[in-house]
Amino acid sequence: MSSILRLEKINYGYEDGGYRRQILKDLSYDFDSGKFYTILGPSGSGKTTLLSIIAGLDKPDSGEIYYEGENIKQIGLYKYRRNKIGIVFQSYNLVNYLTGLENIELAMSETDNKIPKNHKEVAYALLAKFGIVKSKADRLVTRLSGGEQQRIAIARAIASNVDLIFADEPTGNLDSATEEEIIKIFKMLTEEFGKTVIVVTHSNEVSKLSDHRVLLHEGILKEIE
Amino acid sequence: MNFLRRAIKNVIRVPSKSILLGITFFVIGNLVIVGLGLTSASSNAKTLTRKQMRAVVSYEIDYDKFYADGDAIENEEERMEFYQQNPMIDLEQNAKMIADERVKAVDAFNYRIVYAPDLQYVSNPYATYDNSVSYTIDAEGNEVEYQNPTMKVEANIYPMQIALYENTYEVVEGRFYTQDDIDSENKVCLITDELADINNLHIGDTITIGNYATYDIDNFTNAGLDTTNMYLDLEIIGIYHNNNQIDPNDSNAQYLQSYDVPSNTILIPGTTYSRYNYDVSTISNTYYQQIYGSEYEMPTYEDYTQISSAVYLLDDPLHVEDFVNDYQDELGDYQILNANNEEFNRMARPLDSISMFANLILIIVGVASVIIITLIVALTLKTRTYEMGVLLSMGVSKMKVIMQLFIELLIVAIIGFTLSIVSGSLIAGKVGEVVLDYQVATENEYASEDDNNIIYVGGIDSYFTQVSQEELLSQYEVTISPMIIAEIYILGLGVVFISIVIPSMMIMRFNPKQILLDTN
Repeated sequence: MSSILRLEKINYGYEDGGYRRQILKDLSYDFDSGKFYTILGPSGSGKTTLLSIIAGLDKPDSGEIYYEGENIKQIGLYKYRRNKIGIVFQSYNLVNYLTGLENIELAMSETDNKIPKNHKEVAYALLAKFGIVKSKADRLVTRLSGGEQQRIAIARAIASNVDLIFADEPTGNLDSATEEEIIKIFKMLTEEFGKTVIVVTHSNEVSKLSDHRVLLHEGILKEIE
Repeated sequence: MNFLRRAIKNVIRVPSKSILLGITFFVIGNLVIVGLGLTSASSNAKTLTRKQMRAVVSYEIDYDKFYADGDAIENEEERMEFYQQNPMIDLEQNAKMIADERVKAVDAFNYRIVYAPDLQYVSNPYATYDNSVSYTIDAEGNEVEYQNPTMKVEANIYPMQIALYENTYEVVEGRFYTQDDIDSENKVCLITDELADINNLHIGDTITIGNYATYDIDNFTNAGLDTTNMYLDLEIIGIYHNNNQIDPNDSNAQYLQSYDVPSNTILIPGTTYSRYNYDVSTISNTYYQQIYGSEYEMPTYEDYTQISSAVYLLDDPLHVEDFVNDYQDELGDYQILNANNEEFNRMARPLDSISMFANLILIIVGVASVIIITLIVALTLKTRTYEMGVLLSMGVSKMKVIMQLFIELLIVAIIGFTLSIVSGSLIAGKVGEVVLDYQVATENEYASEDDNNIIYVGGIDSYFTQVSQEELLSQYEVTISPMIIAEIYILGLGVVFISIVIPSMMIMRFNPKQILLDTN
């Protein structure tokens, strides 16, 4: 199995109350392509920080990140975010004056990846795949439920035809029934679409269904059997 | 979905912000239209009036200033010395201005009334008595008949006289004298068709003119002057029609001498006439030198080429001010370029006051609008950091985010300004009327206290078109032209552009990770 994302000796820390707090310590890890990963860890262990760094939203103090063997610094962080990855947040982070459909179109129009020209049809089909019917796709996202918004957020994450999806507590704001639906979608992304999904979560329900459960503890990642 | 479509959707779907900005732009637009409308109306009124005025500039000596400066000198000897240094027109400077491509015709000539003993003059049809002779009393108390000169000479140093350019003089046969005639001091002339008719004169014939009456010859015989050198023979090279006529309503019409009759005007090259005057005077002055000794100062040829003023007719009345500005600084002491500006500017004072008032409005509105729009956008941006964070996390460049913000503002500005054009036109018209009435009332009060509103006109002023303040102000009309509309949009674009600077700097400092962490 080939590595899609390789972390090499990542260090990250910050000053807190006069002393330095080291969050990530020489962290190295390989994420394989087409797998569903969950990153677990206690609060404050640095899960979200790690996600921000590997998603190109922040820079490590030292260490390198390689996407399919190419350093993401070489790719450029904006390009990396635009063309290589999709991010799903706990609070969905959709553009609230756009409809569900338009949020998907937004991702499609910004990426440099090859996307079929008929954006609208593709977006409707994608949303339908995630259980969002046309009538709901045409509504402003503020008029949709949390679960519906999160499905749209996931659809947006893959709409730009990327292979790597990050999610930060994607079910944190959802009830258990909806949580289950979202987990199924993540599974579908890996099994049906061949995407690599890396989810930061507290939820055992989510982690149980992943291919790899990884614990962030004392600044390093350890796989849990 | 690119930034342009996002901007349009934001404007439509976040109406509270759009309406707030729209109203702001609408109010700004109205104020700007009032300001631009008033300024433009003032400028148009001045331009239209200027266009009605003759495009003339005169190069003359400011004798008022010269004598004022002289009178201010307390020491009599110094004062007399000052007065002896009579300021003169600089002929080189005159030639330089004549060469300006804006100059179409020039009157730089000497008028002189002359005798033409062989010519029958055209009589003044309104004269009620024989004005060809005058009477004087000699030393013995006898009444002596004195023959009046009959002709007038216009001796120009430029081949295109203003009257010729404006068709007041129309050459009906032959030609006008050329620069070559002027440079070579050729003894040529043009006479009027009426004068030619009554004397049966044709092209190629010769006429004789002189500064002295024939009976004066005896007085000059001792000085070496006789009929061969006291007179100037001129070949007729052209016959022209003089469209100037004596005004029968002129109360002085009946008293006008024959040389005042337009048909008795002879046109000759200025240099030819200067040479004639110099030659005659050299002979007589040589005689006086023999009598009074070597201390008697002989005049030079240059003394006879001097002109008292030059009047330039320009190609366009709107070039008058520029022409004056281009050359005024090059002139020597007491030499001025007069475009009748003082009079025009005095009449235009109410319009200038309105322009100043309007420009003040524009400056205040410009500065205030930039501050207000910047504040509104900056405050709106605070509520949109989440959206910005989302866009940046998706890899949308900061420049595109700024462009979206710019387009949003621009759309609202265009709508606001477009609506303001309709209302602003009405407001500007009303404000214009009120402000003009107020300015004129204030101005009249000021003028009556200050200079009693007296206008002094004379001399070279006859070249200038006299325009009344009523005529000038009647041209004042506030209309919103396409140019003003274009200016409003350009100004609006400028305001939007400047207003986006600070919010853009805020965006450039945005950290998507921090925004999303805060949100989550």
